[in-house]
Amino acid sequence: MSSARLLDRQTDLLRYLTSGAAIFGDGNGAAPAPPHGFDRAWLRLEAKFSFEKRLTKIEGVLAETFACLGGIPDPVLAAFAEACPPFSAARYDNARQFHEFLCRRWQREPPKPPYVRDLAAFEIAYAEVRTFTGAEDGGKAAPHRDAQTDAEGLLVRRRPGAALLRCDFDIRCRFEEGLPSGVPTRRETFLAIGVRPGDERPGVCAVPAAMFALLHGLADWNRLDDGVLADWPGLADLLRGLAARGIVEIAG
Amino acid sequence: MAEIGGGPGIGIGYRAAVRDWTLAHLDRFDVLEITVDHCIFGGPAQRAAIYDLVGRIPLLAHGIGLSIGTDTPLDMEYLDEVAGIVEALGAPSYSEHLAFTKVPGLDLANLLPVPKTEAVAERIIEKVRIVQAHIPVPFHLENISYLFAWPDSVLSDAAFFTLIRRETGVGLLLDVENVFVNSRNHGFDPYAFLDALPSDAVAGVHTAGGVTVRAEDLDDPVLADSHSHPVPDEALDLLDYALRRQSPASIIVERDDRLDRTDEMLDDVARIRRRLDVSGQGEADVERAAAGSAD
Repeated sequence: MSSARLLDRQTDLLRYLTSGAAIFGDGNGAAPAPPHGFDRAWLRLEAKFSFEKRLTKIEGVLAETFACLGGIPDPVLAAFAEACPPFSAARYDNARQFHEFLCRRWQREPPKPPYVRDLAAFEIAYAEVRTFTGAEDGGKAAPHRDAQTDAEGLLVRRRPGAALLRCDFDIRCRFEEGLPSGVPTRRETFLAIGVRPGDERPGVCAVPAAMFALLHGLADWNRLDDGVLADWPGLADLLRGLAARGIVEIAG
Repeated sequence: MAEIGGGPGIGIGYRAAVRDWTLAHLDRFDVLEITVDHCIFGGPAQRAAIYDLVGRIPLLAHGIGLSIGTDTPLDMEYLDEVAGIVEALGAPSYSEHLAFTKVPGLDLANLLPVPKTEAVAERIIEKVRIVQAHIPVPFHLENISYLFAWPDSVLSDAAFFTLIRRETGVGLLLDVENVFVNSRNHGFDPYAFLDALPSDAVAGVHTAGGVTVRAEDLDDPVLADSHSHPVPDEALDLLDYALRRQSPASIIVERDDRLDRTDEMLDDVARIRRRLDVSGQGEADVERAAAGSAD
């Protein structure tokens, strides 16, 4: 048996095991014919077990989203399995696939309740912040500061791995401790997610729209000169507060 | 690294979800098993928590991402990372599964059997040699539970492994729960499997507890290796039997679900210790580290 043939057979087997039809059955509930020589019933069980394991990973990241939707109907899961075969074992990768799948569906048919779109986006952003390793940053150091510029303004950037999220609903009641849980209010809300130095889990804070716009422009190091700081009273303190929360970095 | 005297070191697979509990009960274990993929793909906090264990208790290195059975070249970047982690942990051995989980572009993230033929064994032998050359600690392969067999499989599980061991010296990470589950699901004698293994092939042991499920297309209930429940007596009976001819350095209780039932995990460890006492294996010296392989 040639090397190419075994890999082809392994590939055919995995395509079968990850197909919506093998996991959920065809329109009549029956599983499709498996690759030649395999037992259909055992393969179907394998397909179901593997998909359940995958779904558990996804729900681990999108827990509030799943709870909000009250579960995902089998036809939707079957469509997901068919459209988005797994390319990775990582929880975040599978959750992001599912989130993108939901977003495409929600473009055709808005979700119910409507705030679940924000909730899902938040949970994915939170997971991304949590698993950020820093390798993506490329290790950009702060620009050199000389004696002349040292006293001028503030050298700041958004901390690599921090996330910004604009929401149509104020979803903080769904995840923030100390707030009564309930139905989020339709109110434009700007969230920043970052890991406070020394902490294990990300923290979340709401920021004003103007600060959100500023943070958006701080992907790289920026010098905020004294004029800018003077035009925005308290900005320097706000930024230092965000630095303490892992949202921005201030050089020097 | 010092060796455990008097018998295998007994411990659990480390899981981040019960980190605080594990640290509070470290004295109940002789060894912890670290999943290397959690170091590679987990977040910075998870990695830091794992490396915080170094020096506090012996650590074994176990992987799930190698997919040695996939008929493609090994991922050498992945192996480089594994080598670094093994060294950082001070692990005396590295283990993986005799299985495949993925092909280019598709990752089922679940352990699947390979065709048990001499030709496939030869391919795996080549890869085992590469791993052994790349990672400077003994390498062990674990037997998996499987729901299906390849139609062209001609060798038994034991014969397939023995073929690979004969050419490479690779140790067996004997999962007694998997042997039990497979024997029930596929109708073979688990004791015959153990008898067919070369003596002293078993470098380490895994055990776990699963569930029974009913599948609509199958007549009989199916045992599933879910790592979610206490270790069944049948699996411990197989452990007893295996220890008559084998001298594993470690016995690890695996648990991946219902992790709030830490009482069950401690009870599993205690049951294993009692079994070892009865069989005369003796308790491991908790002050000493896990031994190397039986290679």
